[in-house]
Amino acid sequence: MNDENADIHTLSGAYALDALEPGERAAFERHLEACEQCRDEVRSFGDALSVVVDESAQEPPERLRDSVLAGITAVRPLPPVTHDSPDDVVVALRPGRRRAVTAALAVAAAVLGVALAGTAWRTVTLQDEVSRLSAAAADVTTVLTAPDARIATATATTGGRGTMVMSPSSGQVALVTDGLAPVPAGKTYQVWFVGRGSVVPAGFVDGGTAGTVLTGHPDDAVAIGVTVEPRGGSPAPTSDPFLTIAIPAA
Amino acid sequence: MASHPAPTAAAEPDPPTASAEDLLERCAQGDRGAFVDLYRRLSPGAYGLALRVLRDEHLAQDALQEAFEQIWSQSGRYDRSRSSARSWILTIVHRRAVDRVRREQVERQGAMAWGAQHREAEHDVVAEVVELHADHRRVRAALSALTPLQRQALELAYHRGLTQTQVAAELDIPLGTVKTRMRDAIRRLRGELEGRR
Repeated sequence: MNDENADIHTLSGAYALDALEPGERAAFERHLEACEQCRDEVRSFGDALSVVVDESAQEPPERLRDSVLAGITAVRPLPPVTHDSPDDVVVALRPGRRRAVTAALAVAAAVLGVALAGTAWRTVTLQDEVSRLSAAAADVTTVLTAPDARIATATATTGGRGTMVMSPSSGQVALVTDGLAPVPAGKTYQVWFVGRGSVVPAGFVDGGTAGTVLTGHPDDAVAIGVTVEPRGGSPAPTSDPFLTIAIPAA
Repeated sequence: MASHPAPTAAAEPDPPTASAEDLLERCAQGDRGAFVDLYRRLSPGAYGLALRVLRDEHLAQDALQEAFEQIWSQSGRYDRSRSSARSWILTIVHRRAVDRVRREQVERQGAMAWGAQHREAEHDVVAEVVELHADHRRVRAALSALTPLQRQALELAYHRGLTQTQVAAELDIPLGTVKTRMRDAIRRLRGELEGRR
């Protein structure tokens, strides 16, 4: 039975308010599958909040509607599949529910900025990309395909994006970049773990599309950052990060 | 209270009787007209919510755009036995807004660590608790029936985007207290809204 915690029922309020960490939310959603009482409660809480929300309604600007409609023109709704949470920045892949290949593609999709939640599968491109990534960095692939891999993505201020994949079981964190500007001559892109009050070196990453497994993951790290440093790297960052990715809570 | 007349958009021949649930299910079939109608009906509430959480028009508009794109692409996953369409949609909007707030919190923490590596453990700015000013009497009355601590819990979580763990840290109270306080608050709110319908 799924009786992780006798008072998991008390999480219904925090769940309705979106006040759970991703891991807690996933656990509560598993509980919801089995607990009709909590499902009813969550439903009624959602309705109560909707009433509150309506009282502060405000018309968005007209042009926003146009840009939303433009945004969906090339998108077909996904087929119904699961009861998974409708939205997760952090995607926990579940072994046993999807085959490993699918999992790898799903991770690569996120890596390449194809939102798992939204948009289409660009399978051919993904396949290419997966082969490229695997060839380039077998280590990264190990992290990518770990059963407990978690993902977080952020956009670089200088264009392109970075995706951090972490696997608590292996203690490893990988950074995969996509579309970063080429590294300036004589420089390098250095990665850092940012803790509460400390910044420690975590490795290097190339421009363009690249992947690397980071080193020395401190327990208190809340984010990773990437800076431009003189070739060879620096003991501490000498410039502001152009890419910062928050580490998802376990 | 008198019920609001439905906003009369002159040129919408869509059946006025279609529920938001019906519209959402039609979106799943690829019906863009249904999506337009759904957007027209629900975007004001959604935008108000995003503004409340993000306190910035540009951020709120970005969040709204992302949320509605997601609503379209995930419409097939909507299950009317689980929630009303309105609530499902607002949940997506709220999560988008809150994700943004939380990312920025972390980025701020990162930036501060960057700027001040020698500083002691960082000291969260204690968020001032902004009073809820719901426009509507019914909601105001329902909220005023909550205890101040319950209102504070709702405000910090729903409108500030704090997690229960962060609320516990901010208020320096046990996590268990936060959990039950949040649930009691929203139960009370629900009861008051039902009682005043």
